[in-house]
Amino acid sequence: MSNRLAIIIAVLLGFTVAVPAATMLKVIQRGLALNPESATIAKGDRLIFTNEDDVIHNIHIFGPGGEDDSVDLGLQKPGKALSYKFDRPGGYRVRCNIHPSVRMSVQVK
Amino acid sequence: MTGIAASGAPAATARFDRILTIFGFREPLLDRFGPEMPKVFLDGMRAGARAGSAFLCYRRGWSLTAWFATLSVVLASNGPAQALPSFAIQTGQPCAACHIGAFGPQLNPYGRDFKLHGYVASDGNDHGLPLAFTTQFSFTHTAQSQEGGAAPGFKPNDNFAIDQLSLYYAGRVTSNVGAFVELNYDGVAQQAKLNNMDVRYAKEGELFGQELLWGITANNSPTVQDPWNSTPVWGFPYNRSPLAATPIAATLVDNTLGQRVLGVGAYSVLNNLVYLEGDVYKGLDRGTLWATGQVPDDSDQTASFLPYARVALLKDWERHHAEVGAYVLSGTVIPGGSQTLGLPVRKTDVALDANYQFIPDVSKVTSARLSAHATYIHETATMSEGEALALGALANHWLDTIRADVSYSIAATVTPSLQYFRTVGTADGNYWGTANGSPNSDGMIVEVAYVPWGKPDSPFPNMNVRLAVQYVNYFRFDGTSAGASRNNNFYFSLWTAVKF
Repeated sequence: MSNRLAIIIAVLLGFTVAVPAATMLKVIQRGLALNPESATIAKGDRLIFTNEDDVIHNIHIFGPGGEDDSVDLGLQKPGKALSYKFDRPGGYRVRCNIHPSVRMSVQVK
Repeated sequence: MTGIAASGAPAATARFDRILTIFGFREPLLDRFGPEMPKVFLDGMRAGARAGSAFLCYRRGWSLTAWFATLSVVLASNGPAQALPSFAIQTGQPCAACHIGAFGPQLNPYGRDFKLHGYVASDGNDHGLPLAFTTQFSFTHTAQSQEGGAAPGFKPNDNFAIDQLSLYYAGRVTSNVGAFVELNYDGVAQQAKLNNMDVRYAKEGELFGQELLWGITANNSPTVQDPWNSTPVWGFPYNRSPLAATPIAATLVDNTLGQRVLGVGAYSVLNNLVYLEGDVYKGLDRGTLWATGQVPDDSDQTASFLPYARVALLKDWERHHAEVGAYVLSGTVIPGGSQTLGLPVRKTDVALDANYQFIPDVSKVTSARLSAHATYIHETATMSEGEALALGALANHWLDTIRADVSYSIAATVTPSLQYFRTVGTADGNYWGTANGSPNSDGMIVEVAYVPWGKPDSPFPNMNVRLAVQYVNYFRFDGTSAGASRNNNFYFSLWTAVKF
């Protein structure tokens, strides 16, 4: 019994090392700002954007490929959360199309 | 308890709560105002009804049916509204998102940002042409009646007027080009005209690793393109009576060239800290002035080029916004109203300005907002010795104007404001045409504006209105304090904005 348990634990630890779990970082849109203003994450990590203002926002993510490499997550009503998984390494910019000064930078390793 | 609350009718109080919600207050009646409010509110409504009855008897024959029809058209319109509904439709934001007091033109940090980015920010949906329509109606009472009528076709006192009916193209043209163009009908002058215009291109970039926003503006009035409300075109008061006398003396940059010039300029905002702008204006000829609805001799005319420059330092931190800056305008003009009998004057204005805003809760557009503006304009005016001699005037004059105002917007619904203004300059009877030769005037303006809608949960998303009462009190008027108070005036205005 103890041998089986030891094997199971060893296997689980092995998976943990071999396939690190993707993390999720919460980004708050409040008072015409994204908080944090910048983040460094690992490939495959996900950002969750929440709107804590009382007006509609938008989340538009520009990838490392330039202006044409972008994903518009659409409008974000107050209280609504939007998320995006960063699958490619490089520098990203996130902004609200409605409020041009609301933006953040994301570095994906 | 008194009034309705004292009658023991909680249903009546609840009805007032609902009414107040409709009129822009989101908290229950008694929570906000206490038990005394219902009677006060009722009395106010009765007074309003009396004023409304008088308004409907407006001398130019607007019938109750016409007013009802107008209101029906207004209410039947669709889409969100703000000071300029086309901006609101384009961005999906309520008026209060851009404007202090939930109605233009006083801008908050986002409103300034929207303007600096060229009026192009959008929710990504196609809303068609960005057209908007506004109206301004008013009643003016001056302390002393004006002999011969306040204006052609108006009584000496206590006049109702259609101040303006305005049609706007206001919003995005392309992804980087936006426009604010206003055509209006002046109901006092009974004249249609091209009013304010600001067409701009804006682009973001980087300079030495710092954020750079830059743009190009084509506009027709120095400071109409400015994003702060401390400069003349968009400064307080945001509307004032066209039927009350105003002092004679004004500096060149203080709206005397509005819609009489056409200018092109470039601006930039570096790292959201430094604002720089340079423009060149050219005076419109008489034919163009007539064609665009201006009366050439009513105000300053110029055929020369006029350089304009602007610099400002701005800072947003936590719940605060602050700006300090300067602006300069120079040119040769022929003063309006035959002030110099058609002789030219070289004028140079150097001005300083400052802004401060405090927003207690930045996450709510209905948060209270404290706002203060100030400007100081110093003008030097020079005529040639020969022409000054011919006029019997001095060759050199100076004129200083200072204005400072503060407002506190409560729940983006009620906004009281207070301003002190003062103009002083060289005394010269043949130049200014005042009784004692002095151009000096000063006084105060008190205003309370009420805007029921334009907030995220407003019950009438297709329109907004602004009711305001304003009192102008002069300490000195055109050089004298004797009789200055005769020009004091009450100005009641109703300003509406609808999606067109």
